Amino acid sequence: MKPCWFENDDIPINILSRLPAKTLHRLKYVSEEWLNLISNRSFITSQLRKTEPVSGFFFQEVFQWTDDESIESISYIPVDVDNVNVWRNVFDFLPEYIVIMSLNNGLLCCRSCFPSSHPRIYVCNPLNKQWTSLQWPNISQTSNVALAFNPFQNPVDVSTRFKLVAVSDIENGEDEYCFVFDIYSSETGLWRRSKECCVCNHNLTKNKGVLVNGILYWLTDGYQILMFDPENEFSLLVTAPLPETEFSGIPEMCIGEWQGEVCYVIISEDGLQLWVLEDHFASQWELRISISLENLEKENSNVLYKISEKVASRLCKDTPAWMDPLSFKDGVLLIRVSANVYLYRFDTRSMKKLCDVSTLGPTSMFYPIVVPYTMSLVPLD
Amino acid sequence: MVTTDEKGPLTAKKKSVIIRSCDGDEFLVSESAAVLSTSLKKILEEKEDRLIHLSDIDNKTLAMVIAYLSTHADDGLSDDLKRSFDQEFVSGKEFDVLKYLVLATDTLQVTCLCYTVAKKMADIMKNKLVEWVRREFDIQNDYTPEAEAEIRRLDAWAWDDRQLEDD
Repeated sequence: MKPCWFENDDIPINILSRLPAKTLHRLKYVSEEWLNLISNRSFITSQLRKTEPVSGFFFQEVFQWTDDESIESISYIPVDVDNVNVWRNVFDFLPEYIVIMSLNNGLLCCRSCFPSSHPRIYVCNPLNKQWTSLQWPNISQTSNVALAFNPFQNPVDVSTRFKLVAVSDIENGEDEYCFVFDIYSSETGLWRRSKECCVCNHNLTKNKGVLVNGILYWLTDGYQILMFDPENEFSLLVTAPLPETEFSGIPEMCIGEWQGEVCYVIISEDGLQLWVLEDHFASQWELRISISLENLEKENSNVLYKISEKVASRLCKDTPAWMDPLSFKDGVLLIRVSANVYLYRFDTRSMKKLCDVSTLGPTSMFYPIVVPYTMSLVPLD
Repeated sequence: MVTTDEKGPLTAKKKSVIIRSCDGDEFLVSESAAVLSTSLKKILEEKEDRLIHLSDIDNKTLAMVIAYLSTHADDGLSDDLKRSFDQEFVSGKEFDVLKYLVLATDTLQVTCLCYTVAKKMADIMKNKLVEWVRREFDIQNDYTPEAEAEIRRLDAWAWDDRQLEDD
């Protein structure tokens, strides 16, 4: 007796829906029948999970002194392989060169490189090479656009619905600035300015638009984190766990998500710390992990040497930090130490070299755009 | 051949069912175990006959499913013990055996076991080459070599063939 596996799709769906997106992407090439099954929206809805592991990071250089011009090349640094190759061709399927703006649940939001006569915003899934695009709205070119895509809130069984939130910094009176929010909904295809605004004299920096449980967070350069809830149109400034006065040197930090919680990773003379946001109204943080620089060095003596001295030696913000936490998600941290990029895993407390900074481009030392990538099969047709 | 369900007490004998595999062998199963299968439960509700013939499940597979059902029908076992039995049950089983098991549990509608087996199969498949999957499921590759090479080139960034196994 030879069993028939495809009498109905129940059994293959039952087995395949338990596999991570990365494996399924490969299994599309088993046959066209499997390709159809794996590309099916109801299958993808049943397969989507919050525990999809971080596959890698997208890394893009920016010019340090100007917003008017973009650097075209984007590197993909996989973290779940033995031998790390840096890939540059991931976005070749898009009609033009792009600048990364935000990424969640496998979908990337990006824009045309500036200068551009007809700038556009793209939302794409690099795994299946599908994309959709819209005109850059009537907002400043320096606005930050973040993607709010949450397939657990808005299932993708019929269509893929997402929102975009553009944050712009406007002058609100004498020496006072505030952030305003424009929201785009894929359902209406329209932009709309929210009534909400948030007085803040700092700039958004690094890790732009991190989505945690449907709420967006942006790191600012003033020990505050901007928060905006696109559903209820409500914003807030969350104070960082430690004030600037706490440090004698100049620390570096980044924000990210770990299983539904907002995390703040900081490297200072006190070591490597991971804080978790407990209450955003009260700006209450819990110190989850703290590793002194001495211990960090001891545990990774093959890659770190005299880091206390080097971290303390940074005198001004314009010089790159010796150790710079670039991007964080689900317990893995992409970190630059001197001229190398490493992956730090909080669970095993181990550091692994991924590549030289120079392989990522000539200006990659200075505030690059870095986003963590978790794969998903979500369609964008 | 009639294999008695060891754990079933004698008094329960009149509450037993005989299940015949496609190989023709018969298995004696307590009704409390049989009804854990939604399909068997339906059959037993509909007819008086205590002999059920399963035309697409072989001896080996049926024996495994019955062992599972009997364990889960045993009120003397704690949930923890049943859970560890489930883990033990699938661990070390060949992929081929699991394929027949998943089909049988689907036919018999034993949802929990179907999930456990499907999960185990997915775990095994996670690090396998596409060629291995085709072989195991007896699927013809309908891509041309050129088309496949092109896909592999474009998708190389998302693949990691280096870690994959072919056996």
